[in-house]
Amino acid sequence: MPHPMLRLTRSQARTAGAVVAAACLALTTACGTGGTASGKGKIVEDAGPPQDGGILHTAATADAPSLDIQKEASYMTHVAVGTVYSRLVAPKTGKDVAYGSSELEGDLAEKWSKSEDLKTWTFNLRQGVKFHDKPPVNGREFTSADVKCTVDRIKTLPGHQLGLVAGVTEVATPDPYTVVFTLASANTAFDQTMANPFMAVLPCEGTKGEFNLAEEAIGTGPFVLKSWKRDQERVMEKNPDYFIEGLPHLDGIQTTVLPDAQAQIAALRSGKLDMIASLSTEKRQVDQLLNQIDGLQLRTEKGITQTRVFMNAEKGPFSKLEVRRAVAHAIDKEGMIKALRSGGTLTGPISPTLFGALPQDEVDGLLEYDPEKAKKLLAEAGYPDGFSADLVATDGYGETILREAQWVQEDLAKIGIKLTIDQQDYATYVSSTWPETKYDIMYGLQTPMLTADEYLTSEYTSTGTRNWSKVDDPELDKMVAAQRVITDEAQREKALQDIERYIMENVSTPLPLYAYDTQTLYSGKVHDYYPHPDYSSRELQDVWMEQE
Amino acid sequence: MSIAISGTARAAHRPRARSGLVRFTREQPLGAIALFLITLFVVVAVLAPWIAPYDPLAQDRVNILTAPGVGGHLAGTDELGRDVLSRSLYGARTSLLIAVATLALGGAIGLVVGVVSGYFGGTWIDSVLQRIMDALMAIPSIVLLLFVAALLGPSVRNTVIALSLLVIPSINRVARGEMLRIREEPYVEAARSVGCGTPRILIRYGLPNLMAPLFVMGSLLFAVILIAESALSFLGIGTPPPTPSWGRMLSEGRSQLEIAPWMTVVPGLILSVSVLAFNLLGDAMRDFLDPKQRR
Repeated sequence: MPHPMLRLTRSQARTAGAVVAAACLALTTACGTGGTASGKGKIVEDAGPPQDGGILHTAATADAPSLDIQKEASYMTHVAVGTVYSRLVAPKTGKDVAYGSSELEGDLAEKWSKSEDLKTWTFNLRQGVKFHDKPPVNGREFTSADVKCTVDRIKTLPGHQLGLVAGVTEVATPDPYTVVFTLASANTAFDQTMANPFMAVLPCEGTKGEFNLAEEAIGTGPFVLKSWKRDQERVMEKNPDYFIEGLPHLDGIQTTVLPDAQAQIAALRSGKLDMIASLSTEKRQVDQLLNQIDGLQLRTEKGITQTRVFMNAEKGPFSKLEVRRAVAHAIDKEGMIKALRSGGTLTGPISPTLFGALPQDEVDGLLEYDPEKAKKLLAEAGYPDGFSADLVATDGYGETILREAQWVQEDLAKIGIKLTIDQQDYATYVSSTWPETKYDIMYGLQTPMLTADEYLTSEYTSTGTRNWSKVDDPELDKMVAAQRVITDEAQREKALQDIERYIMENVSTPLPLYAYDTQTLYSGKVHDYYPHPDYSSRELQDVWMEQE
Repeated sequence: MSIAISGTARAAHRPRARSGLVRFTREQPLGAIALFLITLFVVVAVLAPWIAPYDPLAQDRVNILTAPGVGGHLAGTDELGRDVLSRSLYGARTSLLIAVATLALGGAIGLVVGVVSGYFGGTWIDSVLQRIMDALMAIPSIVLLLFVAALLGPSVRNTVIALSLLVIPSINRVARGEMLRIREEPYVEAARSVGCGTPRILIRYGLPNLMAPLFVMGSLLFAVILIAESALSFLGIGTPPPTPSWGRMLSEGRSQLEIAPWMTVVPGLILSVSVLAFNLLGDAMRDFLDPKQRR
């Protein structure tokens, strides 16, 4: 799974914030206060002064493949050990900070500054910060050497995270509490880069291999990893020496791995869990829970995961553009969201919350549900009577995806495309069918990427690393390459939008349908939970629970 | 000559056909009720396209998750607006198809193996065949089912193959035991003495005389297959969507149990009643066909 980490520059995040805010306006019941008209599910924001103590019981749908926060590209790892580590700087979260804001605050760094030419960045570190008291680090003091060890290590690792520090030519440590980064080229937002959850600072003992980073996590964060039983549970304990006075409030966090959403809901209902996060539950079910559990709080977050129809652009009936566009118009996406999800936003190749996304009304227009038009397009492609094909889907994403696949099947049958569902297990689907393009048409998800460029380059260019629909459009390749070097923000945004429009009109595979909303449900005694979409879970340091 | 012998043999082991049903009803009232339910089940399965109020795949998107009776849906609708009653009726069709195909495939193989093995009881042929059967029986059935179904992928054909592995050893056991008995019967000896070949003896004298216990076994296995097929579909490795199947309906309805109980209650009830009926019929037939238990 590619890593769904947010890498927003300030302006991008401003755009994202604006989109979220606009969406909140449009859906006055959603976003934070969510729930039903009767006020059920309301988040209590004035619960009084924080109280210390209590264990937060929460659940994960899957466990982290490994605890190595830099080597492992799965966001499950970041969710798992994000609270163990600290970064130099981190996105600010809290009551008055908008969801997904890119406003930063010092984490390990007390303050930071940039040179005039934006090539030299200096971070002044906090003094007296202690690593967790676990061998072989044994609670020694954190220094600038650890930052250097960490950045040096990242440079030796393959993958996404390397790109983040590729521009760093030198890491200097003039004294134990100062780190100076020298960059190859000017970067106005290098602090944003250092706030990326991949930039967790490891102790040098870890980077030198004195303990196994895949199975042990020792950092400076608010919580200490006490035990990890793979695919069962993770137990975190409060860090008594945490460098922020008075934090964390919780005595610990206990995370149980419960892949089945129904099991999580049952555990929430019986009080075994205090919080279930990032589920895509149906609205009806959420309403039911809110009615049943007194004081249950609901936080709805704008989704970033796209549902997709993948079509083989190289061979088979879907290699004709008109057929793919017919598919885009034949599916009743709005109805699908209403029937099967608790909310969602139609999307083009660039998720609506990202810099460069087309205005929403234009996306809605390009994806308009219009079976008549679809039929016409199909006839133009030479299939006035339709055709038959196999629709690949996997049960690995849960039942909802299979239901959506059946919805698509029905919609396409109406314009004459008769699909038979080929249900595959997740392993086959993700390791063979998808990357090797062994399908004509397929329905599934795409783990979110965090910049427009990432989506466009990896999926839509002929040489893209995830071009698994066999897109081959020289014109598009040129456009994608060209936008990367545009420095003017407004121009670049326009270029990205042009590309998105071009893809929707002239490529139409992979065909994103919508990004669905996710919900976090938590008990009435949990307070001050202000998450950030960066998956680092750092916000849990502020969470507290009412004591009986 | 051989015809006369076989005729006598049959008469000795089977009740007379004409009064059979009447006597069965009188002696086994529960069995008769079960038989009626099963007949109903078969009729529904066969005639589903004519009696179901809606197309089981049609999505009535105006009526999603509506309660029974609303919008003309007698048993309500599911999350895609499909008629639960129609899907349940068509589910009978799927179940019947799979159960019959499984019994035909697994039963045929089990029968052949059992009859051959029984006739050659004690020889190396018997030993080899029975050890293979022992191996199949030694693996817990649900593990075997999961393994085969996951290996082959979900489809009606593969479900039948997986379930057949469950049926073969059971049928084999019964067939072999009966054959061991039959091969010592005077009429088989007589047939052998007049020069009948082995295949002829097996088919002409063996088979007809071991069918009675096999019917009992078949009825009980039918119930087992219904459950196993539902279990596979419930776990998502049986009948693929959107084919209506009771197991899949139960699994789909699970997440809506509190909001739309009809999604699980209707197919669940029909499944339970069907399984019960087949079990009752099996028991009744066993008692009815066993001369020792006859009052």
